[in-house]
Amino acid sequence: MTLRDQMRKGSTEILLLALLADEPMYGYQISQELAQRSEGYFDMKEGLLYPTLHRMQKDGLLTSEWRPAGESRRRKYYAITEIGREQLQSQSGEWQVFMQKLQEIITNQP
Amino acid sequence: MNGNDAKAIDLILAEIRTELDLSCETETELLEEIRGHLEDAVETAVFQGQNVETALLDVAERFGARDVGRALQEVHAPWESADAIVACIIPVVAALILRWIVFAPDGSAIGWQEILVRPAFWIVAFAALLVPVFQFQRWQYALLSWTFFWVITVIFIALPTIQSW
Repeated sequence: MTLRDQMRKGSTEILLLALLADEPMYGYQISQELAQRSEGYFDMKEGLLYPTLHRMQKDGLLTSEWRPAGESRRRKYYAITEIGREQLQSQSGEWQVFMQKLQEIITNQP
Repeated sequence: MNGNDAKAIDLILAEIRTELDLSCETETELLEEIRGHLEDAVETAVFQGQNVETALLDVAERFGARDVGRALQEVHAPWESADAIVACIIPVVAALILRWIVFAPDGSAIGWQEILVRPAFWIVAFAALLVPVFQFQRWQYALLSWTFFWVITVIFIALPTIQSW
């Protein structure tokens, strides 16, 4: 596993929370938004998005609802919950400290 | 999307399904959600100029069917077990409460006319129906619980031999 993969794996949850903080989205829309906003950097294996979304829903961070999409189809939209927003806030702070400390160590290398 | 394309998506879904061992309802929902994703992805690729066959191959590769199936099974399996345990507990609790309502302190069972006017009976009856609905969002569980409740009610009232429990 590359460093980027490892970092991406550790940050998937916060990325999804951040995306869904704006508006409810369905799985494919999330994968497209993620790729577009990060200019492809966070382009993950699309299928693996679903186990993460479902786990986050079980953990109470997200809710979901089916909405009609055309005549014969429907899509499952995910929305962030209040617990999810709190988690986003605390994880954002944690990531900022992490990045700051990492930066300090990297830039202070002899 | 024509029949062949739908078949190609069916094959991807079948591959995912081989890794799943969940309730029929959960599996159907998961696969419906994934089918929607695959159809959207193929439509986008075709709209961007790819031919359908190439788009299907790309989408299948990007999706990683087997890994997804395994990961979904890991996420859902423990919850399904917990649901099943709780689903079993609800009718058992209803049966215990019902037994307390149906039998007088001397051990004799009360009759239909008496039991049907007792508010406690109807509270237990509706709890046996509504708790599974709100707990699991599934009418199947509710109907099973409701059926179980009425079966034991009939048994408790119609068969006095059960008084010796």
